[in-house]
Amino acid sequence: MRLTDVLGSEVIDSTGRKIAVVTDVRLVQDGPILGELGAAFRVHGLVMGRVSMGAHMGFERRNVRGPWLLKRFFALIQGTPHYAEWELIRSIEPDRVRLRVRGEELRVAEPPR
Amino acid sequence: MEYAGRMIDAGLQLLDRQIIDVNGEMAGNVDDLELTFPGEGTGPPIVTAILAGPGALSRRIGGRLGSWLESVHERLHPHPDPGPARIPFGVVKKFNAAVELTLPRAELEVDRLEKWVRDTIISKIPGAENEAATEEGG
Repeated sequence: MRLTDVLGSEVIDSTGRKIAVVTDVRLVQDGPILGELGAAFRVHGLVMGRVSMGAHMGFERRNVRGPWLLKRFFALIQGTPHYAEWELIRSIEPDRVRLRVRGEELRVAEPPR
Repeated sequence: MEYAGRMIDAGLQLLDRQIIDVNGEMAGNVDDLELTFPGEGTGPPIVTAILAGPGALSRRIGGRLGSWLESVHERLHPHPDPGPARIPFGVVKKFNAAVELTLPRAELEVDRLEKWVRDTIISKIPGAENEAATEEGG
């Protein structure tokens, strides 16, 4: 599987409702040792927003600085980003991610630690 | 659940970053990441490689332009089913603004298309040999 197979996929909650699109994939460095970098990065969860456009510029995120006008614009079109840990993901299909929970149960995405 | 390891957002902090080889030379961009499920197939996938070059970019672009790019990549490539250039994540030394590797560019798959074009096409153009000799001679 590739990262870009997941980015932009629509997110379907446990009731069958489309609630968001995947705007980013959060990784945590706690996998097996791979090389000089140390532990491998594994998928921790998915960041979701209203649209994927502009998500990789990061302007809608609290920890990313940028011109206030762009931050405001992308915050408006992205909506509040939400986060689903890997345990909440039921399946990853072509262009679609299915969750085990309802959209209302997801927490707001915080910047990575 | 608490994790001790560093956390990053792959799209924001890895995708499209410049790749720098061990000699400080540019070796392409991070166009995609290969995610591999562990042997048992139950746990979360692990990042096993960086994918770079037209073979990775074509799928990202999608549509007619992506298909065209992929077909050009396949036609210009010596292998029948070339796939994207793959850089194992184990050769990554560190990454911040750029991704730094522990290997020289010549040992990476990202160099294979350039080598093939140079050896198969450019070297057969009349005068190419003289030009190469001039460059080598300074």
